[in-house]
Amino acid sequence: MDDPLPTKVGKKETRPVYRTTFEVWKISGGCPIYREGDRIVFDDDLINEEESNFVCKLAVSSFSTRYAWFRGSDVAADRMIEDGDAWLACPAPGPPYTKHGRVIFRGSRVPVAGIAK
Amino acid sequence: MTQDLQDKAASRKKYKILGEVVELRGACPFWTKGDRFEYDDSIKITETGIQYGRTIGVSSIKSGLLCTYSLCQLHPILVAMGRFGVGADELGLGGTSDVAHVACEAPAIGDSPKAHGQVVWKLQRVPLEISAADIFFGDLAGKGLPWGRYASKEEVSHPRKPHP
Repeated sequence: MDDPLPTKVGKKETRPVYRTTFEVWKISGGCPIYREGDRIVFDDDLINEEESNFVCKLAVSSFSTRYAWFRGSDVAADRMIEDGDAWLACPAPGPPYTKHGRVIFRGSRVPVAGIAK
Repeated sequence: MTQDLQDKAASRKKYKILGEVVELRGACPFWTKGDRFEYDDSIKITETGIQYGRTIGVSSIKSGLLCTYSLCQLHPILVAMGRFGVGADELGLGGTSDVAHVACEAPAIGDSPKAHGQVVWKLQRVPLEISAADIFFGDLAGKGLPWGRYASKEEVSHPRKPHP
């Protein structure tokens, strides 16, 4: 009898792994943390501390909706990903509502070769 | 945790959050300006959609749909302000402690190429005598289940043992 739930434990699977970079593209209000050009870099779904400037929790909460994109999914159906880039905004709406905010991030991903998981 | 921080944490009240869409910077297929919801320390998933709290549900949202992406933005703020009683000014999302403004993750029109719109919510907190979580954990305590001990105010008021 076949196992109805075959486990993947113990099997090595390879898949394309991506480096996803979110760069501060525009700040309409103000931000105490980021300046234009600052970056947050993810290797697969892990934050690359050496390549990242700072990591803001509020900003990363925006990126969490793109988890599948980090993992290499097809992005054709996503309206907020245009021409291979993802455009995401900080949750702080900026003036006149908040002192800081309205930070726009441009996300792009490139495959990182030779990594298996 | 020092005693001061413990006292501060114990003194924080619980709140329900009244949310309202105050601005639509473009177009959104889910939210329209004036949409309201109420968050009372719980989110209930029903057959018709996701209902915040106990009283006002998805019917207050005119489109009848709730964008799940917006939950990613709203939920950390709702939990911080509602369950843990953190002020909006402490979170950096408002000038006063009772009113916060949160935007959705989609950039506004003009902020990025091909943007379709951004929703801005106003979140106002109202003090609660008893929250939905208190009722839930109180029910568990009534059934003698171990999670019910968190509903005991006496338990919360005592400082926990320091971590070794």
